[in-house]
Amino acid sequence: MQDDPHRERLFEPPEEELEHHRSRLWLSHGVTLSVLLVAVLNPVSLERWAAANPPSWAVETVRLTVGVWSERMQMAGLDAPRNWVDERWQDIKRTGWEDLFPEEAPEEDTPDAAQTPQ
Amino acid sequence: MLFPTLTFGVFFLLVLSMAWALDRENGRRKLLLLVASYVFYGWWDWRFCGLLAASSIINWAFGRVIGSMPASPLRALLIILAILVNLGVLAFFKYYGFFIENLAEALTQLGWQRDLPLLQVILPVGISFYTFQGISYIIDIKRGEADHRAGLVDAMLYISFFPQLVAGPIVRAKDFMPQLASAPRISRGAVTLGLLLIIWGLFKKTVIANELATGLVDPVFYAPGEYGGLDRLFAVYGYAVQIYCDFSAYSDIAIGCAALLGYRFNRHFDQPYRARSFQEFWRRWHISLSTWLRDYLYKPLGGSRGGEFGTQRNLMITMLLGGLWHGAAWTFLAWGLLHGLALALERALGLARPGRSVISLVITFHVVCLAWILFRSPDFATAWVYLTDWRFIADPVQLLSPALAGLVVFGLAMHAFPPRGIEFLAGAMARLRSPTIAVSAALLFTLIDALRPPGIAPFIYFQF
Repeated sequence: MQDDPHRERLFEPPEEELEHHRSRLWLSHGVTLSVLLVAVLNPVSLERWAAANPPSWAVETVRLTVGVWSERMQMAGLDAPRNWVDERWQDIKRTGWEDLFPEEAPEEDTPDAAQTPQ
Repeated sequence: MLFPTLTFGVFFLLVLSMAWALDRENGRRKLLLLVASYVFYGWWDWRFCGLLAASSIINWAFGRVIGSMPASPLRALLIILAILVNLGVLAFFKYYGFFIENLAEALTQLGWQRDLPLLQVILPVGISFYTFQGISYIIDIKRGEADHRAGLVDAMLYISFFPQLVAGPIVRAKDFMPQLASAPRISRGAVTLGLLLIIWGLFKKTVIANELATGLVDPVFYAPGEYGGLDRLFAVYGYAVQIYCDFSAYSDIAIGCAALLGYRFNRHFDQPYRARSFQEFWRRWHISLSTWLRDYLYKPLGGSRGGEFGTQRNLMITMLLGGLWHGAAWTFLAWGLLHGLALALERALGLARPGRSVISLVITFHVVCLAWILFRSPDFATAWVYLTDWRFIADPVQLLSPALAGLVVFGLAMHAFPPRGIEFLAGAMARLRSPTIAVSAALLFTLIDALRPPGIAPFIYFQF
């Protein structure tokens, strides 16, 4: 193994079996909750995934289920943060150099005071 | 099955939960991981599962025999045979077409035109990686660093373990096989490091690498002569960032997935563009390949023991073969040659000593970028146009937008991050409660998914 003390410390196996079980439980809880939250906050990606797969009985079932789920999440406004980020990112990508450094418009010719009719 | 897809996400969650459900039965756990690895590989083309299995079984059988024999000429012959079998498979699938095409052309030039048996050989995904692992298995057994009594399942799992199967890192038998001896015990530190590496890898691949590839690098390298100087300059910098983010992302996700399953892989990238010499660059870039080439090619050739000429020759052979490992094309060979020349020159002039200035960093980075032009160009003609056709040099930018320029700058600025920042963060996060970790991970996954462009390009190193 590479000599890498920073990583070695993290991979040090727990001394007791109980500690291993706690870590495993910690991992399962974390992953399960994270998956649920992603499904709530990001239903669009589930819909995209179902739509991208070749049609079959199973895929169609998933697509319909995901469609209903996604609609419910949208109605509750839970997809709003994701959409907000997406829209801002698209705005940033559309921004051109001319938007950042707009060329100054030539100054309009103002009538000279001397020429102004009295 | 690509890493940054929901299909892989579902697959990995299933494997992860089943693997930890079997954490008291190491034998069944390994069998599960082996089956999962073949499902993962067969997702591309199930026909190549046979080749993978044959390669694993042959290496296992050779290892068994070689390990049980005392040192003798027959043993040496068997070792050479085992290495030749591995290289033969690689040569056929990867270099046959290239060799025949060039041979036919050379014969035509000499006026001896012949109809040579040209075959359209499909390149099995990841063949370069698992062939090198097979060779590592044989040599580690020969050196007594790996146990030849390992079971068939262990040997097969070592060669086909799905996180690193198709694009590395190239894992050594002596590093991985002892980890299979008993069911792994997991720590919170390894879990958080795994999660962080997966999230960081997804960000680098889907947001930075993909955006730069589609928006800047691919169009400019397709027709370099049609773009102005700034577009071309940033396309090279962009490619340097893209290939780093693409390949290191794959490695990070692979190392992260393995960590969640309880196994440890070595670090594969270490902020390569911080390097102040080529020697340092190769200590930070594609570490598993550079150390493999050092230990199994450069040193057996004689390393630096044969005087200055011998060292330079060994260096050049190693880098040329390292270039050719990437693909059957003259451009890869030229890329390897350029790196070999740079290393040789550095050595001859004594420029590789530590403590060099920032100017060395800038020079090293730009020579690396010059070599990337050869690496990325489909042929020498395109590379030549890229470097010499400056008709439109003064043209205004067509592709480079502030967002793309920002991604290039960010990709380079990453190299100024604290070198062991991710380990520090993992250590700190390991003390948090699981709901906090879950919410943070879910928010980051959602953020990355919102930023990524639709669709996903395959990883660059899949073609190797």
